[in-house]
Parts: sequence; structure tokens; C-alpha cells
Amino acid sequence: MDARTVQSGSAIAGGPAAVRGARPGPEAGADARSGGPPVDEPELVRAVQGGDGEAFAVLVERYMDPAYAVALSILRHEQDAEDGVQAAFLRALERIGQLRDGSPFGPWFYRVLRSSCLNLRRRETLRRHQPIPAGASGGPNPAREVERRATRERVLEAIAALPEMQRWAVLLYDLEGYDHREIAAILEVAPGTSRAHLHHGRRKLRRLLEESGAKKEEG
Amino acid sequence: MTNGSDDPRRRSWPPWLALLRPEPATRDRLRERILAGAAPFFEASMSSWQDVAAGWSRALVPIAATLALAFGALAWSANTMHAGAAVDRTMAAELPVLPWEGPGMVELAELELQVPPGPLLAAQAPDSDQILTAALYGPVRSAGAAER
Repeated sequence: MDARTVQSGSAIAGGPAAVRGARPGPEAGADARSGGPPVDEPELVRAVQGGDGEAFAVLVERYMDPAYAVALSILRHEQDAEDGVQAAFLRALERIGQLRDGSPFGPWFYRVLRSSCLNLRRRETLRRHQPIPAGASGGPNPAREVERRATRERVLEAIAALPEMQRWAVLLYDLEGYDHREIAAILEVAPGTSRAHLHHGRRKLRRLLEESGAKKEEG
Repeated sequence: MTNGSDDPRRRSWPPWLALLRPEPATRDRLRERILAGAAPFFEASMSSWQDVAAGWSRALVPIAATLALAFGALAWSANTMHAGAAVDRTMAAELPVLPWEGPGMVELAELELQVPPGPLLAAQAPDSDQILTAALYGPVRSAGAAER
């Protein structure tokens, strides 16, 4: 995790204007692969702690996709997932002063995200889960888009059927590539427990996906 | 540190999880929401920085004014003294250098010679105290010499 680098298209400097103007584009991940000075996460965190809005935008770009995937799999509604991710980033920003110098941002951020998602669920203000109706997509290939969304719905259902700890272990391992020590720190359990959660979670997930696939074929 | 994979933005997600990625429109909207929500935080930190700077400047203005006055007074007095010394030097330059007209050693000796000698015996007899003091503290003489 420490060796990871995040690359920004411009120097980290600026303030609120930089925050508003920081639009790396939808494929910023691809942009990040091509050039730009490498900026490690502790450096980014220090910059954000110093009030650097552009450094925060880089962190947002870096963690937005996996955070959204995690929030979506927990909350099962796109709007709720957006709310959860936004709340997590803003909460992280408010408390970033608590992050010790040199500590990795990711595991700490996922603890904040987990807490934000749990709070949203606890408040029972979530929108009711509504599967995307067939033909709702306006993409270039509606049939394919419908198929994609149906598959996504199956995956979300399968993930939602996992116990919470197994769900987090699977998502953090496969999305973020964290090891069991990091996952254990995020979930506040022992590394061995994290390993067990991942093992059981994957096995159950495979079974659930196979079952839903069989049902779909039958249907 | 990781389980062998790298930055999730650099590596590909498992296919079943890739379905959960936000779509481009969702990503744009979400980024916009997050950054708009974060803007007040950075504005607040910026304004607090400005407040601190303004506070410092308010506190420093009287001190700077006092220091400026003190340095001004010092500079003024130093300048005045310098000008006075210049005047003195000018006056000294204008005065003629006169030769020393006081008495020299030879003249002093001549003056001493001109003074008449004093009386060898005092007109009045010394009082008894003076005699006793002289006997006590005067030069010791032998008894034979005293008898002579």
C-alpha cells in the first residue's frame, strides 16, 4: 500500500478553485497511467491536511470507483451509494487531521466508508431497492445494456446475501487488493478471522451466483 | 502490503466486480457532488488562514509604529549630535592656535627665589599638645645625646 503511487496531471497546489476546477475526467485512471509526477499517498494526505484542494481531488479520483462499488453492494441503490460515498469523503475530509503522518489513506478511508454506509442503513432513510426496468437504458446497445444491468443485479443480490463481514472481506480483497492484515484492521478483527471471512464469503458467493445463473437459464 | 495486486485504478477488477463500477455519468456527478461538498471546507480553511494573517497584522501594526518612532527618534538625535560636532569642529578650526604662555620650570624656580624666607621661630610659643605629640612621634634620640 505504501509503495502505491497516485499520479496527478498537474502539480498539487491550489484551494477551493482547484477543488471546483479539478476535473480529471471520467477516465482519470487511464490518465494516471500516462505520465505526471508520482505523488505518494502520505504526501497527498499531508497536502490535504494543509488545505490543498487539488490533492483532495486526486484522492477522490483514486478512491471513488471502489468506494462506489462497495457502497452499492452494501446499500443496493445507486442514489444511496452516491450519498454514502459522498458522506464518506466529506467525513474523511473533516477528520483527516486525525490521520497520523505517513499512515496510508485507504484502510482508514474504508473504515470511514463502512461507518457511513452503516449510518445510512441505520437511519432507515434508504430508497427502496428498485431493479432497473428492462429497456430503461438509453445507451447505444439497449439489449446489451439491459443484459449488463441484469447481471449486475444478480451480483448485487448475491453480495447482499453474504453476511456483512464476509461481504467486506471479499470486496476489500478483490477490489482494493488489501492483504488480511489490512482487512483485519479495517474490520477490527484478527487477520485469521479476515482470512476465514474471505474463504467462506467467496465460497458462498460462488454458490449464489451459480444458483442465480441456473435460475436465469431456467427462466 | 497488498495481496499482490496494485492500485485498483491500475489493475483490472474481477469481471463480476467490474459490473459495480460507476458509469461515466454517475462518476462525473459523484465527483461533482463530492468536490462541491468539500469546497466550503477549503474555503473555511482559507478564510481562517486569512483571519490569522489579519489578526497578526492588526497586532503587529502598533508594534511596528512604535519601533518606527523609536528608530526615527534615534536617527534624529544621532543626526543632531553629528551636526553639533561638526559645528564644534568648525569653531575650533576658526580659533587661532595660541602659544603656551604659562611659567616654565626655570621661571617657577626664579619665582621661588624671589619669595622672602619665613621666620625661623614662630612668633607664638607652641602649645603643650603640639610639644607632646612631637615628643611621642618625633625621631628617637639616645639618652646620652639628651643629656648633652
